[in-house]
Amino acid sequence: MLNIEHFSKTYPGGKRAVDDLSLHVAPGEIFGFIGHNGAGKTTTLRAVAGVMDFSEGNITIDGHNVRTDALAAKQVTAFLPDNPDLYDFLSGIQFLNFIADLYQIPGDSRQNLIAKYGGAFQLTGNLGSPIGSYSHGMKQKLALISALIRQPKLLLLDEPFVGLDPSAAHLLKQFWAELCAAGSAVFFSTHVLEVAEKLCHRIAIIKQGKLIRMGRTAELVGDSTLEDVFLELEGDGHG
Amino acid sequence: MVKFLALLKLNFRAALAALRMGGRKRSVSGVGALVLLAGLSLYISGLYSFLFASQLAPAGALPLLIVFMSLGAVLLGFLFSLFAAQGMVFGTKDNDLMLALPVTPFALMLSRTLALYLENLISTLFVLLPAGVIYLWYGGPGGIWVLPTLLVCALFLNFLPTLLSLVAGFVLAFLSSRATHKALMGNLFNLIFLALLLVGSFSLSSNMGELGDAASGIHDAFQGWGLPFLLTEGAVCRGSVPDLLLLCALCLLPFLAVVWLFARRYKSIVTGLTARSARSDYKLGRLSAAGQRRALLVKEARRWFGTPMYLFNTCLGLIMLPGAGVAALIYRSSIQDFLSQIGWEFFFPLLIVGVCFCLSTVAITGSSISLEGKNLWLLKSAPISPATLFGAKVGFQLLACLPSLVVGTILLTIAFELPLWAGVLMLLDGLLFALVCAPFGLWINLHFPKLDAVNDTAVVKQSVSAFLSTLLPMVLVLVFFLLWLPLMEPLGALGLTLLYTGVLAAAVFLSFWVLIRQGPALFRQLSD
Repeated sequence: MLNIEHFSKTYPGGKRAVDDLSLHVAPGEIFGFIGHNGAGKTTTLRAVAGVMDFSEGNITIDGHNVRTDALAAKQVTAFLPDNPDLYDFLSGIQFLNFIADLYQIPGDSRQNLIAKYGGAFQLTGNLGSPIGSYSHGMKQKLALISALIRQPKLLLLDEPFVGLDPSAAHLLKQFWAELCAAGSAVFFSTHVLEVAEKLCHRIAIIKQGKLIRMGRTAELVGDSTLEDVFLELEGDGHG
Repeated sequence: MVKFLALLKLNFRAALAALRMGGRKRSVSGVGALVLLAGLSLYISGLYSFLFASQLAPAGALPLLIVFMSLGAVLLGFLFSLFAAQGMVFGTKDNDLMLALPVTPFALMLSRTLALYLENLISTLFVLLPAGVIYLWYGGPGGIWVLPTLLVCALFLNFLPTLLSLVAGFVLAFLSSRATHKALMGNLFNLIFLALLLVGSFSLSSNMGELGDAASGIHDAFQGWGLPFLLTEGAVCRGSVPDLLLLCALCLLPFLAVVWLFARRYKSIVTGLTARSARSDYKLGRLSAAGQRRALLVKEARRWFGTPMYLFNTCLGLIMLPGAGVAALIYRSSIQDFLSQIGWEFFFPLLIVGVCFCLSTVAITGSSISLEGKNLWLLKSAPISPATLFGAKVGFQLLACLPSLVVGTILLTIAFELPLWAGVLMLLDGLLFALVCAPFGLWINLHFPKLDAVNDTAVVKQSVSAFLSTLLPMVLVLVFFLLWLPLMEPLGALGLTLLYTGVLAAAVFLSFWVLIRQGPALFRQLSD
C-alpha cells in the first residue's frame, strides 16, 4: 500500500532530517513508526501525505507516486498531523461537508458515514457549533471523523492518541481494525510504546533520521518489552 | 519593571516581525512596504496641507493648518489602528501563555498597547511633519522651533489615536463577548464606523472651500473637545511651553488611566473573547454534495464574512463604489450644470480611474494564503490541484467585486448621463482591473506568506503581502491618473479609455500568466 524508497530530506541550513529511509506498509497492516523527538517521524509522514516537498527518493501510495501523481495518491489517503488545526470559522458539520466535497464523497454515503463515526465518538450533537468552541479533544475527534469518512486506503496519523479520552482511543483502535479488515493500511507515529506494542503488526524505529530497526512486533520485542528495546537502541549508539 | 520591559520588547518585535519575515529579499520588501505606507501618509498629508494652507494663508489663519493636520493625524491613526487594537491587544493567540506569566494585567496590556502606539507613530509622524514643512513654506510663525516642537507634539498626540482605537477595540470585544454571533456583531460595529467615516469625509470635502472665511468660527469650535489640537497650535506656532506641557499631560494621563481601567477587566474580556457559544442538540439532516470548486469557494466566503478584520479591511472599495454612485445621483443636477460647460468626455477617463481606485483597495486574495496559516495542511494533503485552489480564491474576489462594480457603474452612468458605450466601457475596465488585482494579490501572497501570525491583524493589516497587494495596483491607478491630462487632448476620451483597456487587458494576461507559471511551485514550497 505504501512504499518508501531511499527517502531523504534535508532542510534549508543543512539539517538532514531523514536519511535514506526505505520501508513498505502492506494492505491490512497497522504499522507503527517510533523514535525520539526530532528523529524524523513527522517529516516522513508529511512527505508521504504530500504536505511537504522533497527531492530525494520515491514514495508511492497504492501505486501512485506522491510527486508525479499527487492528486491520485491524496485521493486514497487521509492524513492527520499531531495537532490538527481546523477552520474555526466553520461549524463541525460544515467542516465535514467541506472535506466530503473535496474527496467527492456522494451525499447519501457521507450522511451515513458522518452518522456512524459522529455517533461513535459522541460528537453528533456538537456538529452544529463552531469549531472555535470545541475543546482540544473534540477537535481531535472531529479531525479523526473527517479522516474516517474518506474510507482511505492509507490512514496516516502523527501522534493520534494525544488529547483523546480513553473511550475515544479504544474506538479509534476498533475503526483501525475495521479499515484493515477491508484492505486498508494504517501508518502512524507515536510515543506511547505500550499502544504500539499492542496494536502494530510491524514497527520501525528511527533515530536521527536513520532507520535503525524494523520488523514484526513480536520478533522485534521478543521476551522483552518495546520500551526496553527502544531505550536500549536509543542508548547503544545506533545511527 | 524588568518584566514590563521584556514584554514590551516582545510585543515590539511581534509588531515589527509582521513586516519582516526573514531572508534578505523579504526584509527588503518589508522595508519597502514601510516606505510605501510612509509615502501614502506623506501624499495624503502633503495634498491636504497644501489645500488647507492655500485657503488659510490669505485669511491670516495659517496656524489653523496645525490644528487641522493634528486632528487629521489623530483620525488617520485611529482609522489605521482601529482594527489592529482588536487583534493586537485583545485577540492575540498567545493569551493563555501570557496570562499565566507572573506579570500584572496592566503591564501586559500596556506593553501590547504600546506596540500599537509604535505602529501608529509611522502615520502620525508622516502626517504632521510634512504639514509643518508646508506651514513654514507658507510663512507660518514659529521659526526653527516649529519642526522640533511638532515632533515632540507628535509623540504625545499619538497617544490619542491609540487610546481611541483601544476604547473601540474594548467596546467591540465587550459586545462580542456577550453576543451569540461574534462575527455579525463585529461586522455591524465596523459597518457603522465606516458609514460615519464616509459621511465625515464627504462633509469635510464639501466645506473645504469656505475654510478661510470661517477661520475664527472654526477656532471657537475647537474649544473644549479639540483642546489638544489648540495646545499643539500654541506650542508649535507660538512656542508656548505651558501649552506643550499641558498637551503632554492631556495625552499621556488619560491614556495611562484608560489602560489601567481596562486592565482591571482584561482577563474577563480576553476570556470572553475566546469563549464561544456552543450547542449540543444538533440533529444530522440530509447532506448535499458539491464539487471541489464550489466547496472551496463557499469556504472562502465563510472565512471572509466570518472574520470582521478581514472583511472590513478589504471591503472599503466595495462600499465606496456604489456610495460614490449614490452621491453622484444626489448631486446629479450640480454635476450636469458643471458638465454642460466642459463636456462629460473630459472627466470620463477620471471616472474610470476612480472606479479602479475603489477596486484597488479590495485585496482579498492578498491575505488569503496567509490566513490559511496552521490550516494549510488540510489543503496541501487534499486531492485538489493548485489551479483549483487558486481558481476558488481568485474567483471569490471577483464575485465579491462584481455586484458593487455593476451597481456603481450603472449609478455613475445615470448620474453623469453617459452614453451606453461609455457605461459599458467603464464596466469593462473595472472588470479588467478586478481581473488584474485578484491573481496579482494571490501571487504576491504566495511570494510573501505570513503563515505563523499571532493574530489575523498581523496578516490583514501589517503583512508585506497585504501592503503590496493593495499599493501596487494603486500605482497602476496613479499611472492612469497621470496620463489623463497629457493624453486627453491628443487621444480624446474614447482613445484614452481604450488605451486604459489595452493596458488592463495586457496586465490581466500578465497577472494570470505569472500566477499559473510560478504559483504551483510557490504553493508547494509553503510550509505551515
